[in-house]
Amino acid sequence: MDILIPDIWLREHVKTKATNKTIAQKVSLCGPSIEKISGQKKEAVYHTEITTNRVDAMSVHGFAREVSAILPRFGIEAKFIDYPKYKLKITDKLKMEIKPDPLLVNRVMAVKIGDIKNTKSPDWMKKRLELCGMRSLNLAVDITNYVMLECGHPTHVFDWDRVQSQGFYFRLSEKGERIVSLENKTYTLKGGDIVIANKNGEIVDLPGIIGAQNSIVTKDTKNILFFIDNNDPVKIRKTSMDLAIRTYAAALNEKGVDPGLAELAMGRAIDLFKKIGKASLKSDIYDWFTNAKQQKEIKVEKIQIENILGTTLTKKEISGTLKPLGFIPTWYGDTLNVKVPTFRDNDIQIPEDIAEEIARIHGYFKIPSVLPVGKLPNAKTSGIYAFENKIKKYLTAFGGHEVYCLSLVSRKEAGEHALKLKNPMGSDFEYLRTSLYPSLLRATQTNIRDKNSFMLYEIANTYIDRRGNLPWENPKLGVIFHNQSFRTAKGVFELLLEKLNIKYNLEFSSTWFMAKDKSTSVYAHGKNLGTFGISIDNHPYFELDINGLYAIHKPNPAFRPIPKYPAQIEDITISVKGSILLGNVINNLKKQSSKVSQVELIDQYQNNYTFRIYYQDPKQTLSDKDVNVERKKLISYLNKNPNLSLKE
Amino acid sequence: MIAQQGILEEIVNLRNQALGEIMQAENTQSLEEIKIKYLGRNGLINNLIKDIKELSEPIRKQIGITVNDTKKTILNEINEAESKIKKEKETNFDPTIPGIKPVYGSTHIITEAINEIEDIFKHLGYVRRRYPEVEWDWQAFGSLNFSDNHPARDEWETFFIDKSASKKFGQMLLTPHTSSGQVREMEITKPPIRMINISKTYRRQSDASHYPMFHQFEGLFIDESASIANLKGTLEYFVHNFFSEDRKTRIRPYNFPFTEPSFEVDISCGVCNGRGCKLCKEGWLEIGGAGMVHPNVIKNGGLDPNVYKGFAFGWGVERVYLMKTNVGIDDLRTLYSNDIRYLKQF
Repeated sequence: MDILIPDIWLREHVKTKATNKTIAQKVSLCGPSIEKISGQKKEAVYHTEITTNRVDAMSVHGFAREVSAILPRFGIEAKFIDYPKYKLKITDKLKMEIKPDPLLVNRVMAVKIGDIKNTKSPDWMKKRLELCGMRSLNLAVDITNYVMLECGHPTHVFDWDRVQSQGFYFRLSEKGERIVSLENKTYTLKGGDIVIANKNGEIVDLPGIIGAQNSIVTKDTKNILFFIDNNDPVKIRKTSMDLAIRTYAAALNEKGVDPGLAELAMGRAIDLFKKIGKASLKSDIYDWFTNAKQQKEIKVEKIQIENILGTTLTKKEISGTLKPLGFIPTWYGDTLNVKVPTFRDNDIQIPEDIAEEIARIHGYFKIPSVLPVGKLPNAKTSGIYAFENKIKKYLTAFGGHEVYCLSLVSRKEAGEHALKLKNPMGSDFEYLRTSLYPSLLRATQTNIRDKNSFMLYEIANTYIDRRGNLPWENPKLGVIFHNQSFRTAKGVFELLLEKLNIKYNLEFSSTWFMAKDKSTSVYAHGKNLGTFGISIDNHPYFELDINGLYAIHKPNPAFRPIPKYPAQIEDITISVKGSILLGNVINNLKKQSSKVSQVELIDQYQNNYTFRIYYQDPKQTLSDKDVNVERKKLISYLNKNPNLSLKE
Repeated sequence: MIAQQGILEEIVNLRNQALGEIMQAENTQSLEEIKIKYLGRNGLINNLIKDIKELSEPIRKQIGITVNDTKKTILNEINEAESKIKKEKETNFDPTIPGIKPVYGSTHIITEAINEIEDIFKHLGYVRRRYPEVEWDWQAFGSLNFSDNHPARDEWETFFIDKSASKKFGQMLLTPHTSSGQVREMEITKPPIRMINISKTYRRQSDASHYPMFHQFEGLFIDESASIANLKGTLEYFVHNFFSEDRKTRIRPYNFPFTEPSFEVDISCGVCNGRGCKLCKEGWLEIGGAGMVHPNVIKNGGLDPNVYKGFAFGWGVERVYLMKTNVGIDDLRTLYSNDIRYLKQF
């Protein structure tokens, strides 16, 4: 949480000659981070970022304690100025019925204050509130805010004469109950919120969050009820978030403010009412504190601390870091017993927490940087990452551009067995994709300009719902072509699989994102590896299963000797009629003769295809005569097929 | 017959001889000499067929055809060679002429960054992993010591899947951090553990420094001893290798549920070298979180926290890449724009 601490106010709680820049620098290294200092001199304000576990430091006084513990570590004098011990007369003799519920409330303190001149606050107080980002309203309300900012415990005032006879009863709200806030806004409660109701059941306050219109002080208020309540932080957060009432008080209370701070806040408030408001106490102090906790003690061994830090410290050094933070360290041999102050009760639980306090105040920068030694793990990195990189390397070399697309797509783009989000950021991003195609299509569309042509590819997970279990996260390779022929795409496809040493065959079949009759399934070793063809949007596209490819690819292909005897090469042109598949023609040509080692398609004009035929024998150079014999076999195959004819 | 065969062979020999000389000729003058030598009135070919009249008509005819072919071939070759030599004289060698580039695509910088990160940690014995993106609450939060009401579990922070919750593991969600791999790694690997989990992660936010999907790398070290000093050493090793030797690191107190103590890690600004500029905070840039693994997390991983200690760190891949001073992209979402005009640049 970002907390504003005015420098002038801070220096009332810690005495130091350090400049505000030095304070910011040093405290950031060992405690709360100070993001910047705004304003000059008397108006300088520290903008601090205090982590949620350190609600104790979210006040001028709490922050001052950190400053006073940290600065001396850098050789800069700093003395923490604690509050005087306020003598509070606690007798519970308040002429008003208050009924806290021990399941909801930790502590309630209250006092009647009268004769208040509830006019304007003094300028210095207004100024400080303003520096902290708060508006001055009237003296009574300003004092409650001032005390909260200084001590760290939210406080509240009611108009005594309006609430006294009605009583205060803490309870949980019913669904649909309403409250009109002091800002005159009406809220409908969801139920289960901590509320204070009067004896008629009417809600008079949302404790810890915001006051109600029917109980607040006005300019005519004569007597006030000064009130401090400490409630279940989980319920406070829920109500505050549900109703979107994010008051300063709620932001503190939801983090679990120490109820032990209530006395301090009470003492300080009475002090201010008397001094500034010329008011007087009209009752003894009511204090209901059934949930008071014992001060916690934690034991930790010296060696344990040193092992965590990775450096050695003397007992004196260790104690010296803890004392200024309010801890009470006592050594028994090499065992340290640490008494934890109540304001750190939520935060400090285990020996490691103590070690953290010691380490940060000692200074993380004083701890050396040492690479760990020891055994290496038995586990091995899977080869899949290198395999994916290999594919990316090839596709990049073939001219492809790698893209990273959002895994989230619209319902229309989701496909079957897709997972749906409960809280999407919009209907375009509602489902997890089951195919890479829709996102690659989007990427393609953003790139279409003039008459450009390109290839995009992505390797990423797809997500298939499995009942009662996490989805099947299946990594795929998707490659899309824009303004490029199917033959170009096929070339990329062939060369990639050739490079991975994967033999495959294609069988006509279609999926939801592929054009009917223009797409195939890719099979290898009897397994379906994916799809290849033309997409429904007329882009050549293939999508293959990364795990499938990985399982069957041969990383180290067997070395094939270079033929000792040269091939005889000739080109023949074949006219093709009807819907004959060239793949079959090529396979059949090869089948006709064991001497035909290779058949390449080198040219195409209309339905005429020119093939380059390689005749080769591993044991001898073929003579013209030998080739003639083989050629006749090919010609006889062509003659037998009415759809094929040799062009002379 | 013999004479006839002899003449034809001679003609072929003369032709080959002439062609060889033409190939070696370096200037037009020597070509002219070759021309006279073979094709001149008293040239070698004419000399050879001086006595042709004495042969019979059909043979004479055949020889005549061969001679004419040969003369034509030689003349053509001489002319071609001549024009080639002339052309070479005319064209200057111009090293400034634009080249014809091969077609080459691009590998995304996120891939490059991931590979760089993997390589650096490989040297320290770290094993690369990729853990589920769709996770249970238990792995993402519960096992990591998050309280039931921790804000990260709020609907406006984390994406949840629209499915009924598991009794054992809680809600299904898109993991907001790679830390969800910590307990999974402990479950499958007996210490020592040195793991680097690089995966996609998701958070419900989108602005100049956030995209709903991003990549994180999570280092997890578990052994019988592990100290803050060891964590500092490891982070420094990474920063020196990924950025450069002159970048400094520092750790500051922070708070995460799954580490104790927890740190925020800063590196010295590469633009101002730590002096302070508008890009950094007093010379430092925040790089990410780290900490000593909380005993509860070790316990949740099925290990004894009294025996095993550890440290962990989880940083954004895109973030650290953009922090390299020479990249100069100020909006993280640019990386996901998939515009070839950007992609090509890397």
